[in-house]
Amino acid sequence: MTSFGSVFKVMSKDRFRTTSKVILAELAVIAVTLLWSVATREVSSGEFFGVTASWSGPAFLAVFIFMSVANEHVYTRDTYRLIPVGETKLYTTNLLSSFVMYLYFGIVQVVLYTITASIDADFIKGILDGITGPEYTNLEAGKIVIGLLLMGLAMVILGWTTISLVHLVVSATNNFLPNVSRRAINVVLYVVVIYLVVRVAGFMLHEVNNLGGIMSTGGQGQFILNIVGILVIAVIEAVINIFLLKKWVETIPN
Amino acid sequence: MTNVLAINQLTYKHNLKTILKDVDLTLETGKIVGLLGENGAGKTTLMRLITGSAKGSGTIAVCGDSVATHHKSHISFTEQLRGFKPNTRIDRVANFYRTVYPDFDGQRFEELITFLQIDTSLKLGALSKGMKEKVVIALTLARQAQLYLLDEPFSGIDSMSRKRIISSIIKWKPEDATMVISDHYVSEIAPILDEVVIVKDQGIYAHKPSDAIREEFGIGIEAYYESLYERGVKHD
Amino acid sequence: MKFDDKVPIYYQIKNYLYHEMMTGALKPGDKLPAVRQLAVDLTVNVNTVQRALGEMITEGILESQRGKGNFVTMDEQRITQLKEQLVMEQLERVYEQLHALNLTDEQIIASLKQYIAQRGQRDDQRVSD
Repeated sequence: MTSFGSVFKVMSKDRFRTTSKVILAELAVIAVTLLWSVATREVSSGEFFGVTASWSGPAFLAVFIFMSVANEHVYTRDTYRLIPVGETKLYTTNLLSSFVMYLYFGIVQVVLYTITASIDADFIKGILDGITGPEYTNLEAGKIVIGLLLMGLAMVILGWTTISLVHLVVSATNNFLPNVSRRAINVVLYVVVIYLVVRVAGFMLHEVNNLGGIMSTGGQGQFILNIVGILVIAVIEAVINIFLLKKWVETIPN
Repeated sequence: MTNVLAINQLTYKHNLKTILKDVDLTLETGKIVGLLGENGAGKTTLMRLITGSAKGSGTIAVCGDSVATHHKSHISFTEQLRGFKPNTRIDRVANFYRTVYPDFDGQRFEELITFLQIDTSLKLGALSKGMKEKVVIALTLARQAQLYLLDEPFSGIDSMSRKRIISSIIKWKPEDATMVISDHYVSEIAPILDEVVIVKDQGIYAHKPSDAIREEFGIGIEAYYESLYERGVKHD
Repeated sequence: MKFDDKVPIYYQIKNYLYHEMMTGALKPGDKLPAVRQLAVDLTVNVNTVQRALGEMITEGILESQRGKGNFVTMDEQRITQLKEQLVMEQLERVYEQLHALNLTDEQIIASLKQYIAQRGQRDDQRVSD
């Protein structure tokens, strides 16, 4: 059997390149935008941070999509499916590889934010001072930021397990349907499966939220429970995905 | 264990069509087996079922083990490298194989690359069909497996390369390993086959030692194979 | 080497090696190439080569020395015998085929003589050309 490390390595190589390319593209776009500003008018205060933040969003989305594609690729290609490991190891390593690349991207973004924020320190301070609302202590603010980050990461994982679930259910179902009007059937299948998966996941999420509401009087406890809830649903989806891989999902023929 | 492969009551349906039905097949270790049949007869499907890439019902034991996941470490299959982007260089593909397959022998791969005249600095997308097939063969034979499954290894290959591939099969097949070569075009591989398995009518139509065919019927493998189809036509 | 697909390959390998011995390419006491090398040279299966060599060892044409390889027998008598056997096999084929054409033994001998004479002339002509 191939070791986890080896599988992780081959899965991550391409993803690392892709992620790095997105980062380079992001930097290039930021640079061009700023240069454009310099050329046409003066750079206003806060523009470094602002431009970085506004390009960071699409870049996050791009990485998410590229990693999703890489994930799904693995399930239907002999190149990966024939690696001598069990489906569970293949699946979890695959997910972990994408997740680590996402973290890598996230850390680069934090660095970018820190750099641009320090350039625009005065401006940001001004904005923060201008925010009215509940007074947070540094500790509370830190907790909120970390909580939001964790929630974001949990959502990313849930996103991937859900995409896989839809893909694998459609792929497995395909084997049992007649070979006529393929495309039409596929479209219908995708719509139905996406609807079902989103409905079920939504329902479960809602239930978890209710549970949180009952168990605590809101605030921190509920928030943590929400994150756990998302992860639980992700795990359930992952288990179904692994089962589908084992039983029904075939690779694309030679 | 003298049987490298034991298939029992294997049935496979796809898109409501039965491709293979109640297939039984046993292969001994150390053989070169020709898997013959028309296009679409189910040769590739049979190989995919053995590797676990396709899912059927029935049991398949490889080296005595019927757990599908365990088959992968015993089998070296000519997979078509679909997991790689077209701009991947051959040496990077080889690195992938080296990392992922503990039985990948780098030394053997170097020898095969030299013998088959492959330039590893080329990118997958730039290869002709024949050149890509040679790369696939080199990767497949560089592993030290018990069962090699070569799916139509001669398609799109010129006759010089075909000869080289046949030579490399003889040279590099481990003595106790069994090799299954599928083809719908027999004459050139006939001399190297120990046995012939013919896939026809959703099953194994015949499974015979090739010298037994020559002795029994006094005809060549190709003529025998063709005669099965002619008889089929007369029956209809 | 080109094989006739209608004839068992192991049989053709044996004939090929016999031929090598008769022409002197393989002399008594010579070591044969390794099995795999022979298989590569002839483009045949290792198992088939092994079968051919196995039969030749049983026949006493080859001698197998553990760990060293296979050698052509030093037994001159056995080789002479083999040559006779091969000649007889060829003659048998010719005889049967001519017989099938309703030739009597005398006619066969006469035809053979005539053929050899003609063939000799033709070959001489070719040499002088």
